[in-house]
Amino acid sequence: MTGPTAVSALIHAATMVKAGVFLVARLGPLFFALAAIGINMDQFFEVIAWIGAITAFLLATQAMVHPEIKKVLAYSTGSQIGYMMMALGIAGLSRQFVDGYTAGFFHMFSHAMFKASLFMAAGSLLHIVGSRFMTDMGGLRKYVKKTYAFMWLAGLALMGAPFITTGFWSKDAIFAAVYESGNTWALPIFVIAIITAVITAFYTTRMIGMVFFGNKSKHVENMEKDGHHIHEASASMWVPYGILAVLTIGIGIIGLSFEHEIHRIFIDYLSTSFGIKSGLETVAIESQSVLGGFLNGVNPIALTASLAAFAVGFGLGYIFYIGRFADPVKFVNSNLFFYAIHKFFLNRWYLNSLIYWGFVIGPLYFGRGMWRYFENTVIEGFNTGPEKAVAVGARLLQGTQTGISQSYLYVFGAGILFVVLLLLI
Amino acid sequence: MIDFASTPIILTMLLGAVGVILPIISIIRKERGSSLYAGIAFGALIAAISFVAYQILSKHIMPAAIFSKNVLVDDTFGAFFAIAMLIVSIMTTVGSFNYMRGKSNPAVYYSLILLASIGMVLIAYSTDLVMLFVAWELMSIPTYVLAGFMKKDPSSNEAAIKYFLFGALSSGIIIYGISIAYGLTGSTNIGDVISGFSKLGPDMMPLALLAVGMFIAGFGFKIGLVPFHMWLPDTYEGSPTTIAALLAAGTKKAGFAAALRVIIMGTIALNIDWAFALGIIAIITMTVGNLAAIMQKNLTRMLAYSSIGHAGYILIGLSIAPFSQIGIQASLFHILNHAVMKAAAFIAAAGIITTLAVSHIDKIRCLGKRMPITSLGLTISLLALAGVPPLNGFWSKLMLFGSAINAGSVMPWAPYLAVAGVLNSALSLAYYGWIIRKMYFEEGESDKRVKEPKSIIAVMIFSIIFIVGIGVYPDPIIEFAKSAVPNLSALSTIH
Repeated sequence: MTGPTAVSALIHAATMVKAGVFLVARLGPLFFALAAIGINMDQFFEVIAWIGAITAFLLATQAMVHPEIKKVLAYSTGSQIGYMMMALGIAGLSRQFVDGYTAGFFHMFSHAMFKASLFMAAGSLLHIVGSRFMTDMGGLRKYVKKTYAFMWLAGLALMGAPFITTGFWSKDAIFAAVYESGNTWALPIFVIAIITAVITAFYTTRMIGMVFFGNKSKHVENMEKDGHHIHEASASMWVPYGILAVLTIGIGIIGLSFEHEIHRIFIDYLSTSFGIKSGLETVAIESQSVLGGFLNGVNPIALTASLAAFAVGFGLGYIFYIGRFADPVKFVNSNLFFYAIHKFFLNRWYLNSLIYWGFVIGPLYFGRGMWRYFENTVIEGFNTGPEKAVAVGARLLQGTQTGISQSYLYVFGAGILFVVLLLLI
Repeated sequence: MIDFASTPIILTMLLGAVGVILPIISIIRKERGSSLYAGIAFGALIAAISFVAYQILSKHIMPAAIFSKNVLVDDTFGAFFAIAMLIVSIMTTVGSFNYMRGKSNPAVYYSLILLASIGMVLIAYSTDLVMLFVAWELMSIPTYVLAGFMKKDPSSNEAAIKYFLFGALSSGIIIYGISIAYGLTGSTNIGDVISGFSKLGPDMMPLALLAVGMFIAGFGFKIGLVPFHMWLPDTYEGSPTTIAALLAAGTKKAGFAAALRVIIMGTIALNIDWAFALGIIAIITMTVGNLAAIMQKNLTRMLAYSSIGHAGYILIGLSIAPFSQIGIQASLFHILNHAVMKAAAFIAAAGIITTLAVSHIDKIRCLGKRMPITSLGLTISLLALAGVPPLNGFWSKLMLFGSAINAGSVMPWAPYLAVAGVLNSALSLAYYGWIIRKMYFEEGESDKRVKEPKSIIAVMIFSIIFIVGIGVYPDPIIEFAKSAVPNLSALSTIH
């Protein structure tokens, strides 16, 4: 994440972190097919779904408070990957494996586009401002108009702005898959997903607001004083994320039919390769009348929840960071509860320290203790025992080898006696 | 009674004739060079081993038997030992090419090696106790002379006199054992002794056991069993190093051949008593050999103790012989392997001693750079001795220990033999590894390469190929050893 931005875009948005999701997606049908022959695989998929849900929520809350732009994006990536895992896990728990499966893959695809775009845009901002803190930016919209526009487009996709962004359709597919799965865990996971969507919309708005709105930060003012004029980076930087941002919206407009296409492909794939049959017609059709059939195949409850989540998250973000009706710093410091929550999120739920203490410092102390009090005394003490015994034995035997033939002959004679006695016993 | 076309007779005539002719040539020929005699001896031994191999491959020899009405029997058991002994004799002869250069009386030296080889080969073929004893002496007397061959060297003289003293004593003890056996059964033929022993009344049993004890002591002297081993390190260290190779790899194995011929007799007649005694001696022998080897500073002396340890391993197979065919098979396999490994190690030591005039372990530092091929040969043979896979020593030890564990169903104490063997193998790696460490990982005074004798290189290359080759593909030798094991179950019908 702190690597070069282009590399971050590649490994965080598209390849490396997706490898895990892809692995689960690749093997998921196998486990589901096992379930079809009577082996209970529910626990496997439940674990995956819950890991996804927890990851999504946990990392979204951390993205909400962090001041570094690339860290916000990195937490956001983790959160979105949680969504994908959630979809794959829920796929295994539902009757319609292909729904969740498609949702997971579709989200993976759309996320690759908008997150790569956001990462590269962030890299461009870092280059322009020379700082990775959003508090060092502010009010940039007048200077870097193209980046501003593209970030809005990709950001809207991340927020899940309705109807025109890929992010909306893919997230909606996940909500629908979770809601329709009919599993006992469906409701809690659905609620977590919705809350996470609110937070996602909020922190994306916060990011854009902190970077482009408000007053110029001290850092930017200092730069201008030193003679650095704030301006757009070269075309080789903004063209790539521009293309991706426009694509995000472009595919978003045809998003629903795109999703249906993926859906159809996966039905074929799953039935030919794994023999998992899906009833095509069971896709919800109640919303057929709305908007002249445009929303054919979309679950109305999931759709409503998704819209509401976007509205709430974006609204809150707008109040604090774009409209600047309230100062978020003052708000957080106004009472102990918010302050504590903020601090808790900023310190990554103290998970890092917990892991550090539990798995680094603790074992280290344990290891030292073992070394000092057990190995040095007990094992070392025991080790020297055989060593000394061997040495003493060898010396004793050497001592018998006097080189005097007479004594050798005595031993020989005694040996005969010994053997005969041994035989007579 | 004597079939003149049989393998042992032809071997005796061939090697004996060459052995007698060699000194005569040296009288006629005035030159002092030794390579002619070495060449002739080498040729005779190669002819002998080819003849044995031909006899085996063309199936002119009988399946392994324990006794026959003749004094000699032409069977695979004998052929197996003949092959092992002749390989050792050839390695010794080739190794001596360089060792004997410029030393006096080379013709007699090679002649004595040939005569000792006849003795070793005949022991394996004998089925009569008197024939066995004559062959025993034919093997021993030339080696007494060979051990003292460096007549100006006091330690060589000491080695010879100690060896001779103990040899004479043990010969007397063997004769004593034979006389008791003859007195009890009225025959010296091993087959007749077996059936005689099995018919003995309980009042005569202690006498039979006394005879057996005499055999163990007498053969045990040559094998190097504890407590009959005291002469062995002194003799191996003092005698010419190539002769130490012959003693450790050749005559020791001949002792095993004799013990096996007689062991089988005891197995039938006296059953388990003998086995238990041998088991205890096996454990004592391997432990004493390996323990004493650890502190040694002299390369040949260390190898001498190591060969005592290996005698203990081989004895495992003998001690479980009453109930395990595989035990004897494993013993035979290990005998052949150990013959080559130990001969290679001693001849490498001989090469080091002749080239650099050192035998102290601290002086062989950095040998890996100075004499790379000798060092490699020594390393491979030491690793094989320690039983490191995939070298041949690993397979034979595996078979020995495995057969001991299998025999546990009949003899509850047998698995302890395997435990002792494994512990000792681990212990032995301490001193084998020490030599290897000195050769390769320590800085010496000089790392300039010295010229290695060609004959030593030849022996090293042969043994590396043999050790690694059998290690990678042991099946033919295991099969050969299996065909050399006499069928014990057929014998139990004698009762």
